[in-house]
Amino acid sequence: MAETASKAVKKLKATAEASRYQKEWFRGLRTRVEAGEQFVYANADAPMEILRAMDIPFVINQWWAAICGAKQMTSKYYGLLRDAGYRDDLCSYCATAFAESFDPDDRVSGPWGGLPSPTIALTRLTCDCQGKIFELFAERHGADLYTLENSVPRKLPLNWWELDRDDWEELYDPDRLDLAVEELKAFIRYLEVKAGRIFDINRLRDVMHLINEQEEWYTKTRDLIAQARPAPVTVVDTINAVMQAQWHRGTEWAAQHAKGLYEEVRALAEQTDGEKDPRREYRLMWLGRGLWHDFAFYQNFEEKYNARFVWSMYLAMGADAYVRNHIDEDPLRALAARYIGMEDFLHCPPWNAQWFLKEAGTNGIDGVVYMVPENCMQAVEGSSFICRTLENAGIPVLKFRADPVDARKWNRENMTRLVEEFIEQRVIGGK
Amino acid sequence: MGIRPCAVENASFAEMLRYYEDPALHLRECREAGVGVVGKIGWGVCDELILAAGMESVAVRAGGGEHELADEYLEYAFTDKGKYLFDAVAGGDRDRIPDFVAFSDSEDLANRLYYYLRELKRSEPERPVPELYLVDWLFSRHMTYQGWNERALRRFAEQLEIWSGHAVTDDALTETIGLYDRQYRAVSEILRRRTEGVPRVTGCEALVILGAKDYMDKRRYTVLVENLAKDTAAWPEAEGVRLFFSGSLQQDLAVYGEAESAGYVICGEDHDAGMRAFERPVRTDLEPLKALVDSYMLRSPSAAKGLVKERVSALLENVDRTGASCVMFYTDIYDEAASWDFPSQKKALEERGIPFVNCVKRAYPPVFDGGFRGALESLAKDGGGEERG
Repeated sequence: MAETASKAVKKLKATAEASRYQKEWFRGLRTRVEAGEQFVYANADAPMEILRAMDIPFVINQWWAAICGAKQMTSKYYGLLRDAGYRDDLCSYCATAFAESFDPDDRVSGPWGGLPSPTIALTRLTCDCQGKIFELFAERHGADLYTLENSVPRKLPLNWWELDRDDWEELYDPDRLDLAVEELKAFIRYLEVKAGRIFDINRLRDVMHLINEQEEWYTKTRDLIAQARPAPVTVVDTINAVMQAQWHRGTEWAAQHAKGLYEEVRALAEQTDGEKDPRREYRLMWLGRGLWHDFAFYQNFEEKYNARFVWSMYLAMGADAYVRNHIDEDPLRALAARYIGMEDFLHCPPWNAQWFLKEAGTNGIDGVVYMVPENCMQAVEGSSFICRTLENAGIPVLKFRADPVDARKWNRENMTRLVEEFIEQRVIGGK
Repeated sequence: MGIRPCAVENASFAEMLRYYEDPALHLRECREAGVGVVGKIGWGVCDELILAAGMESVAVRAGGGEHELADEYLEYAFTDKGKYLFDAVAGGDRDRIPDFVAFSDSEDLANRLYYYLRELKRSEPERPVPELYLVDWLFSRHMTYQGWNERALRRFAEQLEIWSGHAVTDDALTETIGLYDRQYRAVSEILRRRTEGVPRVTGCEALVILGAKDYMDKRRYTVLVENLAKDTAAWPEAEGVRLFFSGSLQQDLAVYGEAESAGYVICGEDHDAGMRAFERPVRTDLEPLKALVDSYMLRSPSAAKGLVKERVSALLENVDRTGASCVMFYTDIYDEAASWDFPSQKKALEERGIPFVNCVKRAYPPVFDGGFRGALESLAKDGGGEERG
């Protein structure tokens, strides 16, 4: 399809502020990289808190792929990938930055002046392709490749969100935590040599406390949206406001931004209370990665049906998956207890299905629209189990295939029709 | 080419072939004899431990026909082979599936199949899903993960003790490692006859000899393979263009048979049903679990777990070792990890002037369409190139 021209309408100042700050930060990053500082390109589930504590700047792969998708660059990049002899129909979310590295005009036409050359590419090995793609990306930039392993949960808690804040020793198999701590120590030693600076465990404590503060504001915001009728904001605002700030977690700015987001949403909730659309509000849940190349799609159903996407994982993960108490006892182990769970929470049934069910219930969800990638083994997550779990609870689900960043196969007209039929027949029709 | 009269007429080979062609035969025999059997999905399920627990093993092989349960439960990104495996295990096909099935974290497919089957068993307990276990290997080549892998194998041994009711003792393990060492020595002799000097074993014959260990009694297999180490010395030369096969797992003879009928002889491969399984002996001078980790973890990098540079080096070494004059890359649809290796491997082969052909997005069961046959013809005529499935 032609890449989408229409833009999503965002109403929160916090969303605009996150974008403004991110751009300013990115300019500063370029200056630091050009001055010869270390710069890490990291996958989203890597323990970036170590980098934060060592003041080593980093860009997150998924965020950057989202930017490339939103800036309508991905068709060009996958074309370059194909010209370089690689398949252009694989692993789009993880391979976007690698594809971008073939663009000779990146500095001129790339998003925000293009991606500066990293000195380290960091990823966890959560699928068979991930390490290879990061290796190839690192080679293109002359960077080191650093990988961390991914062990498999033997425990199958149906309520991980009730355990992860305080009882992570119960939540996880202890040997998985032991291994992650061992990996963190090795990673720290590598960074100390590479960057020529010491890792300060007390600084990590500070970072972890700031993260808790930030994520607690997300918890309040999530809970507020769950209770408010009508919903004061939709995912068009919350995804952008949270995702960008999440990659700055562990900073004063991010904690303050999360607080500002909450206060703004609360004010909107108070303002809209009593100004209800006479029509019933239908509350939709978006499952899967963000549809970065067509964010306006989320708003297609508001005017016609008063159907609004009020939930995505980005805010809810902040609320349920990041806070770790008892940091001071062992900050590294607390950090391990955050990052090793990311795959479990998102991609391992029944961890994910039970969480989505809980969130659908507390958020008053009327219907779920579920985007499943076609060719990404990392993102296979037992979608049929998730659908069954939700449907069995009386929550209708529309599952469809699409790519979060590659717009080439996306047909907005068809997809709009599909969602409209779902809303009419199963969401409204089912009431 | 393919399987020649010299092989079929050899009693040891014929016995192996009988089991290879009927992957459930050994399971039936064990059931009749009251011997517990562990089904294996993924190449890191250690036979040595299973045998030491007093059990036997069979590899669970993808079948054909319908895969209705997989269509219902699996996402699009699963391979056809994965879908057949899922249906067989989820459907509790007792003719083909043992009461216990162990997976290894040696590739995404096996890992994800385990997740899904475990959840199916938990959420729909009425389904006849067998007992399941995952051996959680980590294949990054660092000391940290050697220790993890030893502990993973210890846990697997404990599970086997529960399943079998027998302790896995060091003595029993040392004995089975000794058995596998005999197999390794015999197979090495046969592989030399495949790769060095005048080749006397075809690719199809090698697949049967190497693969039969997964479908028959392990002690009997050891005797047969030792016989073949002697007998193959007298087999006639296997004539054909020497082709190295790189890519998706081949647990039956279809693809090799098609290539060898087109005038090639497959002299080596890097998938897990071929020579890779016998690449690194289990050291008899180490503690048993350390020795198993050494053998399984440090063999040449697989398509799933190797990094690109490692895979390029491994391919060139294999081409040298096997005397291949050309290479076939062959990947099933959604078995995509090797696709990231290919451009670098292609460059390395081009620098050496070694022709190749690239067959991607292949269906299973395989379809030998004009594109596939044309690729084989072009490889012979003008040095190949790329072919998309």
